Amino acid sequence: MPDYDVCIIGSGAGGGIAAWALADAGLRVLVLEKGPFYTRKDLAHDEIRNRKYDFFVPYATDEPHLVKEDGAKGFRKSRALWGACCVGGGATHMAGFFYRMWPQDFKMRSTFGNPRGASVADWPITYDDLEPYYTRIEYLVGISGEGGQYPFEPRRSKPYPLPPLKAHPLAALVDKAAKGMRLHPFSTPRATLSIPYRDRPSCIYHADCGALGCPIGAKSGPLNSVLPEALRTGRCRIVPRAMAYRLETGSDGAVRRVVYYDSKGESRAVTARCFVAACGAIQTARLLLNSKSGRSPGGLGNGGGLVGRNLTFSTFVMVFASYKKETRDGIDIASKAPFLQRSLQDYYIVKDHEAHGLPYPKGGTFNFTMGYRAPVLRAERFLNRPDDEGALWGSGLKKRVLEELRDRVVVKLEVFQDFLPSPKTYVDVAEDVKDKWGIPVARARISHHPAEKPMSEFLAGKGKSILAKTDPRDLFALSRPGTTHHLQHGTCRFGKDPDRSVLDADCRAHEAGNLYAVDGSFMPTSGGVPATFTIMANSLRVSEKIVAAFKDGRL
Amino acid sequence: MLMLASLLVPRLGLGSGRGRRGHFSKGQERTIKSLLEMIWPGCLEYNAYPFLERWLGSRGYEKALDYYKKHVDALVADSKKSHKKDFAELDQEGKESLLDRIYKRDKLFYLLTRQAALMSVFGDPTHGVNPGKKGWKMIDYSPGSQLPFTHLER
Repeated sequence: MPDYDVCIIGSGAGGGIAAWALADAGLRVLVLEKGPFYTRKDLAHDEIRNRKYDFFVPYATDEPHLVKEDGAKGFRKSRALWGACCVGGGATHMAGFFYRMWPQDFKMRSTFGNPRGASVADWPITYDDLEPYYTRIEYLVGISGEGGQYPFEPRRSKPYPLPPLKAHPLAALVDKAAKGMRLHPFSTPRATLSIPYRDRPSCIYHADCGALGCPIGAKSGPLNSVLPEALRTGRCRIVPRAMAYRLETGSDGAVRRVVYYDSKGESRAVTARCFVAACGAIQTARLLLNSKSGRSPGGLGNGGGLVGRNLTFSTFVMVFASYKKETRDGIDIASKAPFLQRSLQDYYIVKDHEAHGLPYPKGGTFNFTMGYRAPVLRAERFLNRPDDEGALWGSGLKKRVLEELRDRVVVKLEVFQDFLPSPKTYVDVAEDVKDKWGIPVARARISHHPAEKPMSEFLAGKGKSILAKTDPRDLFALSRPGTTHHLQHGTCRFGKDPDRSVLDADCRAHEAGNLYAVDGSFMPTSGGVPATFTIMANSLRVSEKIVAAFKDGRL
Repeated sequence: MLMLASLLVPRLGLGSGRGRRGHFSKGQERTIKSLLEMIWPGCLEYNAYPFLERWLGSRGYEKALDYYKKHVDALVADSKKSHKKDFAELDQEGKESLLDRIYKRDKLFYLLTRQAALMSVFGDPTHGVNPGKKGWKMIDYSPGSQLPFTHLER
């Protein structure tokens, strides 16, 4: 008899939700997580410690990726492309912008076509298939927001369980500017508790929330929400610092066991009736490609050569505006409130795109935030701006840093734009480069499709013109398409046709009947929102399929 | 270029600040202190030097430490060649001309030093820097909860 019913590899947005859903349904679940199990105390805000080199992400000398981006001559060893390696995954320190994808995202190819050189594909499920799971995740983990604020909001079957987080007074200026341009600002939905919920405390509006973990557990990632509940069932076990490196199959092609290195570096094996890959899109591809056998010489599930293909990220542009700390028309700009809480989806799909010289109509989501307050990071970002021409040292440097940090507040607009899938962006395994355990590392090529650049510039221009109307002291944009390395998807596309996808519509591998994937790897396209929410919703959907398969004897 | 500046450097630059000390010679120490003081006058009072020393002595920073030492030595050699003096003994103008050269040729060396200075002024005092939270007081920064903004007030 196998050791467990289900073995889940990875405990982030996908794996964490599956761990709870499967254990809650009565299955015996083991979660292997390669990172440590941090507690709230470990996540106390301290700029030096939290930005410590290997707190969330391993050293490049220990566990490198090989990365080649647009314009680079060769591969470089990098620590980019790691999400947070800890129990709860990247959702432990996410800012938690929880937008739903739009119905059109699920059928991009049939709605908008495929730009030349891209590999855009429809999803085998629709928005209506996923909608109930979006709603259930909102209630399960605790999402703060307000429905019905703007006309193109994707349909929702229930209101948000929690009211929106409170906004900085500057939100009034952004609202006025956007509405003056006939746009439709709305309060950003957040995976942070605005009021106490399910025995968890609400947000204390910490000064440096941004991209750090939550010291009180108000962020709604798996670490604070579903994993404690999964452990309470008594049927879920989490093993931290366990690096899974190979899935082994039996003669029928089903996965029999996973081998991993434990915290002491010893190799161990676990058997289960069902395996769920949830390592993040790049690491899941690496695990499958490293799981070679006589039956699958090119890696598990890779008979069609598709594992690692169609890798996508989120493309981003940013606009920064800074304001003098003052009270303007009754608006307390000097307020220390950490969240701006404003979003726009007016440019999610640019209808008259050709008139603007845009080859493809998919735009993205505008997310207005308060710039990070953490002073070292803030000082560096200020000094590293490409247009900076001020003093580089001495009292001149000191004066302008102190003035910036003391006298101004910064608004940062981030735009999450579709990263178009193409054969030029993929991940494989570098057989000759190994990590500290001797496991071949992931090697990624990253190339932005040419249709993205004009859209990025268009979106940055729109962002700039909105913020210009708020009368800032200073305004500048990064309008070249950037890559959000920690938001990764694709690599194991789901689809109906086994010749064109790795997973079926239930996110089960076409080639191995008891192997599923619930991280971002299933996604054929990235959407114009951060994907964490969609990964969670899909993981809940897939978990139900797994439970059903156990009930009717297929697993 | 911006990517290099804003992304690469914070990744390269931040250690726990709890590493070993004592890997610089007396001469190197004098040069580093002088450089820190040039970049952010007063930062030695915020313990910038011991912080930089511990930080570059952290695990995972071995290459950064080698790089840093190499450039400190090169700076001293440069200074002796062009000014016949140690960098620390130069007048303001002499130091500025060499700093300008570093910025143009070895930007990472400049950025690492600047980051240590900023860390010492604005970092958390538990790391032995920012004594008495003087740095935070200067910019009216208060870490932690901004409680007036919670829903508790309802």
